[in-house]
Amino acid sequence: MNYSDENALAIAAAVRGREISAAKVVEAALGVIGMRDPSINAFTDVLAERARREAAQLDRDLAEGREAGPLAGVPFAVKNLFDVEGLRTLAGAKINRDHAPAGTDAAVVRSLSKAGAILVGTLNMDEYAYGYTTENTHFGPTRNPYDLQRSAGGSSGGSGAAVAAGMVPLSLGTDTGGSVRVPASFCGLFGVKPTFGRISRRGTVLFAPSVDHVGAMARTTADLAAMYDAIEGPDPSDEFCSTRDPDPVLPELDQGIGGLRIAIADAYFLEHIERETHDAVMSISDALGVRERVCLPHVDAGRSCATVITAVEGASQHLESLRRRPQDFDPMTRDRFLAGALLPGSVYQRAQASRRFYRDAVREVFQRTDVLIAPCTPAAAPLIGQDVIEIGGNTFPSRGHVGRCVIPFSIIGLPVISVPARVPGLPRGVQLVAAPYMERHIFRVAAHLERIGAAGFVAPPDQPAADVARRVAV
Amino acid sequence: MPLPEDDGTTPQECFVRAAAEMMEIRLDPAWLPGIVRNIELLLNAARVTQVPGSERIDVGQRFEP
Repeated sequence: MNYSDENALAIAAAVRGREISAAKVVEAALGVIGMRDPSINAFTDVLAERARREAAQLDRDLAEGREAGPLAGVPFAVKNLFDVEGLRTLAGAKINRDHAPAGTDAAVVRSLSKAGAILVGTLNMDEYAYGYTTENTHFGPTRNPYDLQRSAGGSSGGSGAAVAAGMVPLSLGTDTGGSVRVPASFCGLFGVKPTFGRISRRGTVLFAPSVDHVGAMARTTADLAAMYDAIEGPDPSDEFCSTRDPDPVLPELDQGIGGLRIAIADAYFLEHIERETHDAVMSISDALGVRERVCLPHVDAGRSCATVITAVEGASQHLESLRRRPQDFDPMTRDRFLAGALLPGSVYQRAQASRRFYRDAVREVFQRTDVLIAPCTPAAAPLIGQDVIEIGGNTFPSRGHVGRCVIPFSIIGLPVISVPARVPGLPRGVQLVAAPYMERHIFRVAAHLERIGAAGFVAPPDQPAADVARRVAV
Repeated sequence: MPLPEDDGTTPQECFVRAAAEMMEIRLDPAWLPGIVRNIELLLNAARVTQVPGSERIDVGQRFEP
């Protein structure tokens, strides 16, 4: 078994079948992280002692005939805004280094541990999740495994890079305005941002509470589905978590796309994107035999609502720090947080009203459509430090433009999967979007696309330590 | 509170400085242009949010006993 290439479900099957010990899997993960992360900078903490302890316990349980979970022995890592017992929850911020360590794991970390997965570390991100490129001044930029000069995306950039570079098969992130889907797109992964409220946020540092979602990334749809199934469902300790029963998607993956009404999101979503991104969308729609196009109403307004709401809610979350130690904020976020803190309340209130108006208008579209296809990121990953991007003769701020196609869906809480289109060059994601709580639809489409070869993870070019890394697990 | 003509700051920067002071936020003067630029971006976004009909939307909350 080559650890870096292996998917999570295969690792779990091998561990459950005692073909390989959890301890050996964890050592392989730690070995690959040790060799590859210095050039990527995805991890901010590696939890070797905890991982070894949990692996040893799992191996003892298996030896004694006890049941192991569906993700037995699978290493995973989390964006560093998830609480991990005994660790300071950094949320990408220097300020948080002064906080007390977390007393317990975040709800979703507990859920994954219960499923048998083993936490091996925490991952880099934009400060307080306010960014798309993980160019973190305090902890350094996270580099894209496909091109180390480029961004891994953000704000869950470490989560994308760690999975794409083969350091872990699964990672958790959060998505307020695209922060799971953007790194998934730039790193060639499958990434899911479920319906708002589908997954508990208990034990996470919130960015914009009315928009924040927990999400996940993996190299295959089956792995993503298994992870999603392990973490979705009600949590009485999170007031905003839905009380709906869990709705597992792993059993749905073989259902195909029969009966699903699928359409391309037209107009806004196909404007101001690179030709190669347009090609990626067409490659996905062609593979599905989709010709129908729909125009979502008021998308510009929806995107603008999100811009205002996240700025104001984000500033509100950190108002005390903005008062006491503004100089300790990352210069990449400080001006935007301060702008949000000073915006008149009437502007926020109007944005919330328009958000509901937009949500209701989009809801109508889903009366006639089950799944929408839309680009994820307008362009491939930008260079680290790149300030502007030119598309079709127009110049855009490169960081802000990244969110153009992802924000309009998260601001109204719709479930989305970004799938890696099989196109030449750097990775490009395509979004599959469904009505609230219809994650099963987008998982079916993603699995179908992967099965027919239209979407799928393609490993980055071998890094110098790759061969050595593989030998670790054999 | 400094006026624009006192130290060369723009009226917008003066407004930001005053608003920050009232919010008990101490700003480094070097940050003012960036904050002003971001407030302008947010106000531009706010104008785009004003879709006809949206002003009638009720954003109240229901409080169950």
